[in-house]
Amino acid sequence: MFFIPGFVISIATFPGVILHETAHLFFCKINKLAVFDVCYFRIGNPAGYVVHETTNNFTKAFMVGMGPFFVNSFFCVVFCSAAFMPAWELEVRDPLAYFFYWLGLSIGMHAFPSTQDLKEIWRMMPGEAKKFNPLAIISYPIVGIVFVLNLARVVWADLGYGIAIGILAPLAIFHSLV
Amino acid sequence: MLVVSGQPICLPCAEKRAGEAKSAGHNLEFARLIDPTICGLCKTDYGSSELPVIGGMPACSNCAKGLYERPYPGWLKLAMAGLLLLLAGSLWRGVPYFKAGRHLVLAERAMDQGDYKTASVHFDEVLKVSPTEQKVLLMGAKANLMIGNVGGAAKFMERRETYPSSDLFTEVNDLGNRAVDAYKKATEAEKLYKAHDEEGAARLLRQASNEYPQSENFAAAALNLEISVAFNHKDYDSFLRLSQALLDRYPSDPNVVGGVASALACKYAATGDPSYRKQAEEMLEKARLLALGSPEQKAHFEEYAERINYRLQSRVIIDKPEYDRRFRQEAKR
Repeated sequence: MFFIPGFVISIATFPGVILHETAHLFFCKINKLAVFDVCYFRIGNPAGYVVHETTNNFTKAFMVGMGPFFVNSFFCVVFCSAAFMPAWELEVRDPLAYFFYWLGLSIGMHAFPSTQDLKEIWRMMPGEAKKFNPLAIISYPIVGIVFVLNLARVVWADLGYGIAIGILAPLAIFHSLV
Repeated sequence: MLVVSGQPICLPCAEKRAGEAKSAGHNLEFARLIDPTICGLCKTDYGSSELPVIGGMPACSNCAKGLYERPYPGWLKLAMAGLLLLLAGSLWRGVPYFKAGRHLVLAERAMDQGDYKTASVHFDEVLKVSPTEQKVLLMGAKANLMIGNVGGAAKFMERRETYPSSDLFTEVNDLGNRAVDAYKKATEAEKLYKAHDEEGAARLLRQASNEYPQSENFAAAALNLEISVAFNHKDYDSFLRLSQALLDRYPSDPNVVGGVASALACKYAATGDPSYRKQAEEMLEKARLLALGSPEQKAHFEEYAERINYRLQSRVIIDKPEYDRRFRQEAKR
């Protein structure tokens, strides 16, 4: 496993960082949570952040914490869908297709919520699950897997996730549609 | 101002006490001393009115509005609009690739079922987007080779300069080599045919057909030449057998049906067995009906039907040049 400094990865995949923070902001706004500070991208750790009001409402916390995961995953799949056929399946020498692949994978790589985002959800989840909140119950495996994957970022789990959904998802969608 | 253990403390004193506590091996928890009547953001003093606390900080209504309705920066809106436009553009631009991908999936399915003709039709659509992926090209070439289309296979193979070795490559390469070798034999056969060596040409074409059985053209050409050789040798049993073999391949070709009628007429002329005559007349009628669809076919049918009818009526077997010499030269004059 080779080591690349985080800031280099962030620069190389900056569209994903910006979209991730934008999604955080978007979900804060629609959930009426105060936002104190936003950084869409910077060279540093973290590469971007949204400082927002905490909440005891699990649904809001889930949406704000996990929202970017779904938004980035969606855009990754869509962009890669536009590129996977020429770039992956047919190997057409098309620079634009490779650009879309880079964009899709950059976005997919930054789908994972930060540990801080997950901690908020993790803290509230047991109590909500005891109250039979369906979202909390469903969230257990999702948040659990994402938590583990987030820790596995040191072994490129984020890139692996981007590639997995950027290639396998369009492939599966395409084969199921034809 | 900060607060520790309920007591207010200024920042320099707090830093001093924190340092002392750390040296003593424990931590002190400081909190910011908040005046609920002063907005934490715009610092406006609202006198005795306590402000609502948002995220642990008093905020006036003006500032609170900003916190809840934080605008997206202009550059971000532009970037997002650009992203969506790019997305739409990429999907629109990807339409030919999606179509090619669909044909690729259908071609692979046809290949799995051994339907190489259908597969080659789909692969031709894939070729339109100029793929270079090895497996796609090799499968496209294989589909074409399996239906005897060497030229079509070459179009796929030409898309790459090198092919790393694989089982599929070995298979396609072997098939291609056999096809090329068969074509060489067919070219030699053509030369022999032009030199009026029909037997030699038929033998070479049969070898070509055996070597590359996927080529319908080689098999048909070999059969046609063998039929001609059998007729020339007055071997009417072989003439009939080979004509029927050709009919099995092309049951709706009026010329092939006419060829069987011709062979049956020869058998009648040679044996006098009326069952051959009856069968010949039936085949001739079938050929007539099949030829109705095209003026060229109809004209061709009328030409050979006249000769076959002559054979049936006279029981004399002569070839076309002789028939033309005897009966048609007169007509021309």
